[in-house]
Amino acid sequence: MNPVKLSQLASRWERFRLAHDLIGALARGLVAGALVVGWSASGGVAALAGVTLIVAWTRRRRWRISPAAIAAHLDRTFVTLEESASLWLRAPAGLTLVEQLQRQRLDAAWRALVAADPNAGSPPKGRLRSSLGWMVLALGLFVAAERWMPPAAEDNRLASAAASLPRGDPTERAPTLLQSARIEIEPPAYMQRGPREIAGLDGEAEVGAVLRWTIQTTEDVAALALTAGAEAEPAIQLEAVMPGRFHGQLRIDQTLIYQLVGLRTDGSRWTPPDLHAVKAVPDQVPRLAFSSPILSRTALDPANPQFEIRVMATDDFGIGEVHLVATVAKGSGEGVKFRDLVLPLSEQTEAGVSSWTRTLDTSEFALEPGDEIYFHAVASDQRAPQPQTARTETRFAVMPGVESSVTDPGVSVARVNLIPEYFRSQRQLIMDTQRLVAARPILPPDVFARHSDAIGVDQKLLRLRYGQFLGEEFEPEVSGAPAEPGTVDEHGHPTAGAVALPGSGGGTDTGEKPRLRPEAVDRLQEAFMHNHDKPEAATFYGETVKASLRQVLAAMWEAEGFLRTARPAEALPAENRALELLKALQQADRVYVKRMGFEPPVIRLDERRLRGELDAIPATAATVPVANEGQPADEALRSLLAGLSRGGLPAEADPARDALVESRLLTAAQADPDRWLGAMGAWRTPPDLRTPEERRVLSQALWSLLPEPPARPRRRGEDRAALSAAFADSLWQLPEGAP
Amino acid sequence: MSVSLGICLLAAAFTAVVCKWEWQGLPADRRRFRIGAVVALGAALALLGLASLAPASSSVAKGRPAILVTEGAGPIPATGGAFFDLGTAPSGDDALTLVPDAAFVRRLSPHVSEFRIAGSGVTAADAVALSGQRVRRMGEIRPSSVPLFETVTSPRDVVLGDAVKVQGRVFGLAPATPVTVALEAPDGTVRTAEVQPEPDGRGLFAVAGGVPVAPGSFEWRLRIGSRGDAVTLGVTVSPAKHPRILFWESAPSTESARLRRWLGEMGPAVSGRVQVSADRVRTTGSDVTDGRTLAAELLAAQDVLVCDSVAFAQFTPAELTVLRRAVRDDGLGLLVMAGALPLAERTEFPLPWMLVTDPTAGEESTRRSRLRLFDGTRLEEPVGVLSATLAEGAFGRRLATDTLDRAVVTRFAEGRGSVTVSLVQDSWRWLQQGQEQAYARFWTLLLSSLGRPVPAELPWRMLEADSPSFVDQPVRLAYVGADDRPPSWPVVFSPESVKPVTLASGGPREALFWPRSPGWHHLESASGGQRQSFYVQPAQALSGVRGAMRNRLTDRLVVDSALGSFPEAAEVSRPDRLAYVSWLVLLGALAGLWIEERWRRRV
Repeated sequence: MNPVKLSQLASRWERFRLAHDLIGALARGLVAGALVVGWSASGGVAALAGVTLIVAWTRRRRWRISPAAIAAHLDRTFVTLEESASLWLRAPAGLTLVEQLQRQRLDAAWRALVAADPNAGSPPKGRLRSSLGWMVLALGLFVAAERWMPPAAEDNRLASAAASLPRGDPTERAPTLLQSARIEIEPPAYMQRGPREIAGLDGEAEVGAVLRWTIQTTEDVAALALTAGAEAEPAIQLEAVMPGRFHGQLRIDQTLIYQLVGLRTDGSRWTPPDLHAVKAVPDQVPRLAFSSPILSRTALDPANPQFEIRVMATDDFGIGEVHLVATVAKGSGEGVKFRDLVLPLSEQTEAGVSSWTRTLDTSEFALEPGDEIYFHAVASDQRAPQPQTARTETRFAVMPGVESSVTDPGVSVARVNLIPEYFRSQRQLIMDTQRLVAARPILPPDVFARHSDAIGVDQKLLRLRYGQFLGEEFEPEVSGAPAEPGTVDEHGHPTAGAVALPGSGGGTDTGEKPRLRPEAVDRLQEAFMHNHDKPEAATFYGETVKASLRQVLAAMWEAEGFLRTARPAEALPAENRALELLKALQQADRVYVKRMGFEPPVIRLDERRLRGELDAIPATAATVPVANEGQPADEALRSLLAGLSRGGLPAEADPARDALVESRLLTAAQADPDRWLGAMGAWRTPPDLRTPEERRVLSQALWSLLPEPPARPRRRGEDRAALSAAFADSLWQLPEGAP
Repeated sequence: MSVSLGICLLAAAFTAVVCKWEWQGLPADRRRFRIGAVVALGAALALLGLASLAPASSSVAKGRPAILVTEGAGPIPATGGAFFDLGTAPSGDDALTLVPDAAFVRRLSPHVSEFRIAGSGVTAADAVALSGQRVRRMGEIRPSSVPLFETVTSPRDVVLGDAVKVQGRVFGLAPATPVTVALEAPDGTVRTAEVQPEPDGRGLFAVAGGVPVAPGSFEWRLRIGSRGDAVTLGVTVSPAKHPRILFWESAPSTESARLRRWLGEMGPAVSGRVQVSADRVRTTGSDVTDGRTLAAELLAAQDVLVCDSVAFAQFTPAELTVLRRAVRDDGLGLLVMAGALPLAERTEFPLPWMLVTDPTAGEESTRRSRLRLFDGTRLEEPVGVLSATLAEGAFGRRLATDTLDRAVVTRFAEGRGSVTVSLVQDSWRWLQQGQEQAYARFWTLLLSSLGRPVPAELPWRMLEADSPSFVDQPVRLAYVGADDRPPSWPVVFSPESVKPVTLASGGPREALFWPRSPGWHHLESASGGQRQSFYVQPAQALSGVRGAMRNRLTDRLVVDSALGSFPEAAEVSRPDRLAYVSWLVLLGALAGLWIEERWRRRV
């Protein structure tokens, strides 16, 4: 043995110490990680690394071993070395005689030891093996902990659902039992959509679709069902295909709101409080409209028998069939004959837009002047088993007459007017004008002007028709109410109808102001006499009705002016005004004629009338408030909302009120689950367990469901002090004569 | 803070080093005393260092003013005097001494009698501390760089069915840059109003908050723009009470019959008396037992009396006296349905309007008009209105006008009550035409505005009820009962405590409450039962409104101080005890070490 060998031995011991300590630290880290990994994988790894590093750090000083320490260790371990192992550290030349003798004895003793045990002084390998064994044991513990309690699933929905579980039931505070869920949606075959799958328990599905649930839970759950409420009957009882895996299916026709209800293997009930909704999206009816012809009433061109009809139709799942229902009316007067036809339309696609067209050959129907065709389109979608249909409004195609034209109203009385007296009503004129205004962007300007002129002509015909009620054709001024004859305007000039004095030169042509003739006696008396010999006054109507009629005609005149000049948008206000006035006239004016041939019995006034007795009079008036169907539910919502309001006293438990609130919320949630499902869940949480956020959501929902209070008289709050009232009272109590 | 920590660490390090030397170089019997002395020496050094960081003497020199810098202070001209920061000015200004309130400054320098205020102004508590002192303004107020609310007026209490309307003013607007004020109702509905800036950077706004749907205490949230901080406005909604209505008619009419039927369906208690012939009357309702005389007891049980002009003309002088007293002193509302016949002048109860026949009406006694109600509602369906011009003078309030802005319904205040005249003749046609909403709106507005008001349950009225209340700012209540003094003081339930707090007295008929926390507070009578709720804003909310309130308060202080005289007190200076103690400890430690050393050498 010499210093070199001692150094080598020291290095061996250092390596042993390092390995031993690191293995020990790792074992301790594994044990610590095993305690944490059950809740969090990342936490377990962090605990493992942290504890390992800490333990290794605290033992780092042991990894430095000097030859002197080895010598001391050898002295402690082997008695035969006689506490002299330190002599190997010194150079032989520096030893004294006694030390040299001792060194020789030392070397002999060491040789004997090595001969007996070649590993004498070396690190014991058994200890390393035992450390390894402990580490392996700790590793197994770590792995077992990680496998036995896996961390939370990646599905955020389930994690949030599991996190929100434990409020209602203390037993739910245990780790979640729901692991995964998905719904397979198979739409009806006619929709031509393949099945799709959604993760979680919420989604949208088409009406008539089949839903198939696949729910994975822990093996704790023995039975599972979907139910409308925690205490309600199960809507769907799921089938357990294997422990913890459940299947079920249902065909939905309306929005489904449900929650899970399960039974554990130990017999206890499992009711996670979360509500889920599958919103049913109904199949919409087809939407269709005429793109040709635009106007509701179209004049056919006798020279061109081809008349094109085009219909635009759309549907969310495809149009099934579109056909035209037409009625041909031939003849006039009482000899009109009708023939109904059902004509198919052919589909055309241009630039990805489909339309259905048909070109009518009017020559097939042998139309004569005055004959008409009424038609509308009917479309049906592809819904099975019962398709939905929709129809357009009715359009008219009229064959104009030969002798008279629709655009030539100035027909003299002597000529035979072959055009039937068919007037578009003022309301119809308004509708046509609105339609024309809407179609302006797509119509050529000349067509637009022609259509506007045609409506203007009809407006004129209507105006002349109403003008007949005034006894003669009436042509008012350009705008405003017509001027009365014999009056002057604000500038002193005579209005049209005023009579100029003779010799005045005829008025404005000569530039002289005409002098007005004084009012004649008969003119002055006109306001107070009945003029039966004048056609203007030979009507049934009073002056107010005539004035109103004049206003109607003035409005029609104004509208006609705009229409004839291709400005239908500006004509609409005048048309609406004319309609309003007409309606007011119709409702304001009533003519009562005594019924002939009826002699009522004589009323004995003294005995029967004006006695103020109501006994014999049946109570026809409502003496009780009109029942409001929604009132009990509204009152229930109000009382609950008052209790939820800030500072409000909590409402007492009332099962009847709760039932009404539940019903209203459920109805709203079925119509719009996205908006109301949160409120439904907040409502079903016990009141004492509601969080502030849930209270806010529920308050908002109740507020939105309540209608505004009806307008009814109510008393204001007091805004004056009672002191002033007392002062006023004391004034009346003062003795007489007091100041 | 960091400097103080550094001083402490230095002292600790010095102490540790010296202790180590002492420990290593001394025998055990001497270590205890010497190390103790070294520790005391280090502590004394640390205290001396901390004392040196204390600000210079905060007292104000004699003859100089104390300048209080508050929020919004602009550049302050250099002037003699001590500057104090009341905590609302921007921090970081080393020249300012931070003080908690004005009372602290007065305690610090009791001889100071002139205070100059820079910025928006002082709070109510500081105003109390400065009362009786000479107070002036100083410098300019820094304009706000962002739009802020300057005033916010919102009702604290509304009746179910009344709309919540918030009005106010915004300042700090950039020129030609309108902003939007948004009001969010409790159901989440947001209504907005645009604020147009005026040349001074201010703008007015009025935004509706919808109609509450249930009684209770609810919160609306008001903000400027879509992302500004929201302010909570608390509104208490009370259940609606129906008025009791008495009809007194000279003849049956369709108008009153339909109105009575509608009122009966809506809920108000309706009584009636109709003269059906010269000597016969018909009465309905339990209140009317004698339909021939208008008695004071009958009127005391009603809130509104509806009569036609002929019935009014038929009242005897005694009845008119009773009626006038009921209106003027008891708050009864009188509605006169004007007819074609003009009302004769009655000295017992002169009516404050005249009807002038419309010369253009001709044969027609009525004309059809579209009405516009005083709340801005336009009723599209025309109604028959008497063809007469209502000359109402300057004191009438128009409740409804026609499209030509002619009065159709006008209300006149008469003492506690009111007298209203209506020219509407056939509003029942609205019902016939299916316009129930127009009918309901018209009569609701009319009868609600003239009915006898509901007396308050709690005889305490909050002053400045339409302005927000803030934490640490007093809420003042006035007693409005009939007694000379309040029989008992109300209590307040606050969010932070379960037990109620009795209000402090602010005068013979005034109570004060200093809220300590934001949220809903409830005022109750001492005997319980009667309750009134109000919302308190956090101390930092509505900075513009608080600034405006401080501004007004400070202006009042300045005006009050201009009228008083202020003798100066002697200067008082306060010793710095911390430095004395530190020096004592230091000298004591040094002395102890020296004595011990001398004694050791001698030994």
